[in-house]
Amino acid sequence: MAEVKAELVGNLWKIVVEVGQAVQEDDTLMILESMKMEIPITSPVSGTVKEITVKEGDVVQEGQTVAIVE
Amino acid sequence: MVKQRNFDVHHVQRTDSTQDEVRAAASRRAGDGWCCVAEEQTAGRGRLGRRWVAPPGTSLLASVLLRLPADRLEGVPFAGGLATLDALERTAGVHARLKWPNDVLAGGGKVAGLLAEVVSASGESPAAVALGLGVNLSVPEFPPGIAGVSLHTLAARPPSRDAVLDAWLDALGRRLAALEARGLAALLPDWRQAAAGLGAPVTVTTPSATISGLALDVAEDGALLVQTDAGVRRFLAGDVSLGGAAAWLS
Repeated sequence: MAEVKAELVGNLWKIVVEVGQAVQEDDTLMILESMKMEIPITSPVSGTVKEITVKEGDVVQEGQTVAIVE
Repeated sequence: MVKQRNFDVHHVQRTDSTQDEVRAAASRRAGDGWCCVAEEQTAGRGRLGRRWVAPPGTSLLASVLLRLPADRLEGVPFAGGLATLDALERTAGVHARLKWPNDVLAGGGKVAGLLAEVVSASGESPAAVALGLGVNLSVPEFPPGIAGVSLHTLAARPPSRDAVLDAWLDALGRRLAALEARGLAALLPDWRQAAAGLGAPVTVTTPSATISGLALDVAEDGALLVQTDAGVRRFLAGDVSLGGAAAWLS
């Protein structure tokens, strides 16, 4: 199981996967926006999205867990 | 020691998006400074997936691949915006201003826009960023609702596309060198000098709310600080409208 963490603070613009979806390592799971820069959050492992802990429009903090992939 | 940037410019007639060209180049392990400039984009975009529309041959449409330390990422939009002001001043004698963080305004509208997209995988260092620039050079008219301005209406002698591109890349190299050496703090004094709307009423629209207040300043991390009835709010993202004017596109 891998916790996916945001590496930068930003507004969560878009979630591009769903719970239960199979993903590959480095696939984009969601996109943050900060200073009008779009920043992907990618999966650190291949697996299945078990949980998404944020919603679009949230302000995400650096180091915050945004999803779990197992 | 800060490295000297060398830009490797590739011209294409037509592409979906110069940003996508840079993304593809990044995946091929192209180096820092790889740049694509196009006559026409068929699927040009601004931020948040919005379309960037430009008739063929009327705009500077370019994107550049930047590889820089991950802890300098937040300064890229500021460096890009300031470099655009530098280039417009140098090549066209046009004194433009920046609406937070990097919409380029002149003559009552938006003359240029930038889009920064991080393209590297999480945790990769140095980070890779696709920085795109669109400058309205000789756009005859804009679609309804677009508060655009074309440089040819502002400059006594409108510059060529390549002259603006060369000046932008030159200025971008200098702005990024300052950013890499000293962080965002190196850029903020110039940014504040060039800012439109600081000290004035603004409205910030986010996915969850619309907040009005007085634009106070930018924080050291680049966030926009707005005085509201409920106190000072920090914004990392959002569409900023100045005063009572119609919303600028961003």
